[in-house]
Amino acid sequence: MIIDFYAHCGSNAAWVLKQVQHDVGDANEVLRLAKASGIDRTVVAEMACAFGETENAREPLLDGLVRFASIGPAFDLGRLEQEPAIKGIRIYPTYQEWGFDSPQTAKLLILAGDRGWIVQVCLRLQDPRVLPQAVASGAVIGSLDKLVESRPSAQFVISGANYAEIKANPAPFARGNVWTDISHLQHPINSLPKLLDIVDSSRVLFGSNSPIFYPQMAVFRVIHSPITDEDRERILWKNAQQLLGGVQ
Amino acid sequence: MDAEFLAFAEQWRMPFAVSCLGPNGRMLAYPTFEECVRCNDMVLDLMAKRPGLAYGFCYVSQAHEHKAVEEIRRCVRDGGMRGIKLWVAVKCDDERTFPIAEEAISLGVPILQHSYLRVEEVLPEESKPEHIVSLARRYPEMKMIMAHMALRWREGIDAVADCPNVSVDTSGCDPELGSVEYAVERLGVERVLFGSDAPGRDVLCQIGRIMAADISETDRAKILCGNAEKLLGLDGGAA
Repeated sequence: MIIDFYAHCGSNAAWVLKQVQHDVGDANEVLRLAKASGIDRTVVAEMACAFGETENAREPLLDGLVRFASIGPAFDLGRLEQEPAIKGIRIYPTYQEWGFDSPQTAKLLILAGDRGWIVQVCLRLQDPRVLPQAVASGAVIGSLDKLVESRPSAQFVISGANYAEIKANPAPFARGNVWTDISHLQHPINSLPKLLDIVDSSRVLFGSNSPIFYPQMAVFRVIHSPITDEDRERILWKNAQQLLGGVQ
Repeated sequence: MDAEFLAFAEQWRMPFAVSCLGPNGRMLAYPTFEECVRCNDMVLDLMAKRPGLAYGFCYVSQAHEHKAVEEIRRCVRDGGMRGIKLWVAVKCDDERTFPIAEEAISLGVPILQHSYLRVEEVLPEESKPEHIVSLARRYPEMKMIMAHMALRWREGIDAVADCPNVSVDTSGCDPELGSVEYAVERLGVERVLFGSDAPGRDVLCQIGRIMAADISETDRAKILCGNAEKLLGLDGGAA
């Protein structure tokens, strides 16, 4: 069993990203890639929202996909309250500046708490040397710590961080209400076992960044990384299943 | 040499091409000639200790002009290194590269040229694909490798597509979907080489990219192994 916590969909993705294929983001294609890679469940959201789009698709998702809603800092709270069947929300504070101490963010977190939504903070879609960030990932992680500390009942996933950023800003990753994923853990050699020296394996999630990255690459690196089988199982699916409330 | 990478290479039985860009993990963008010599000495030492595993590339800077050529002769002709590494000290179409290119042709070894297309330029002498194309066209009999597929791989691959003497390696850029397939389609599989950029990058992710690509098993084997064996003369043929 494998649950992918960081994949994307949205037919308007191609204009957002550099050098990707034009059909990237089509939900059927995302699902096909997942199945071909041995991934059973995939958490997806519309990635174009990272760049100002606020509309999320509302058609029923294909079996195998778990929907999160992507929102920007100017989100409509009333509209968000009507989102159907979502398990969480995604924000993209490196591409769109967020005021984590703003009243609007406080309202968002209250709503997320009421609905049991996971708050996924997405730091990266592509290498910043290819797709620049408005705010550096390290700066966002640093400012997140106060937020996650002040909301101990909320569940946060910080996605797209690299090893150097986590090592330099370990505080939020040590909190019991924060998880992270391995999607952008590309450096250095043996980066996954090195991550587990900093972050407890119970709070590390499998993430592929599909369909921007090859999802099978992420599976390959977990399967072959020198970590214990217990940690491997936690990362590949157990932690995600627990976090999503036992999704099958 | 990074102990973790050596252990990985031995465990996976993965021969590797290696250059040293600076001691103790420090990468010297503008090295002195003496620093280049020390770097190359470390690689020669590694080759002696790990025969059949480590294949050196001689790191030189065009800024050192005739001394760079002498260093190539010491390391390649006399020391058994298999190629020449140029990084970011001087753009590769600078005329100071010409004697190095001519020496590479004479010795029958490839030049591995770093190349990045960044959104924001941070290294004024960093070579872009256009500089590689310029040098490759001046010396069509020379073998070149454009490292990292130039980061923005689609643009990088397109730029060198019409230069049959330029190969690309897959190191140093993220494992983006379609990148390997695009390189094979545009260049032909023989011009695509696996590269890890280790120890800076996680080798497993870089191997995983090739394993994940939607290509034939024959092509996968060529990218992972066969093309490099042929280019470096490890298959019994001339380099």
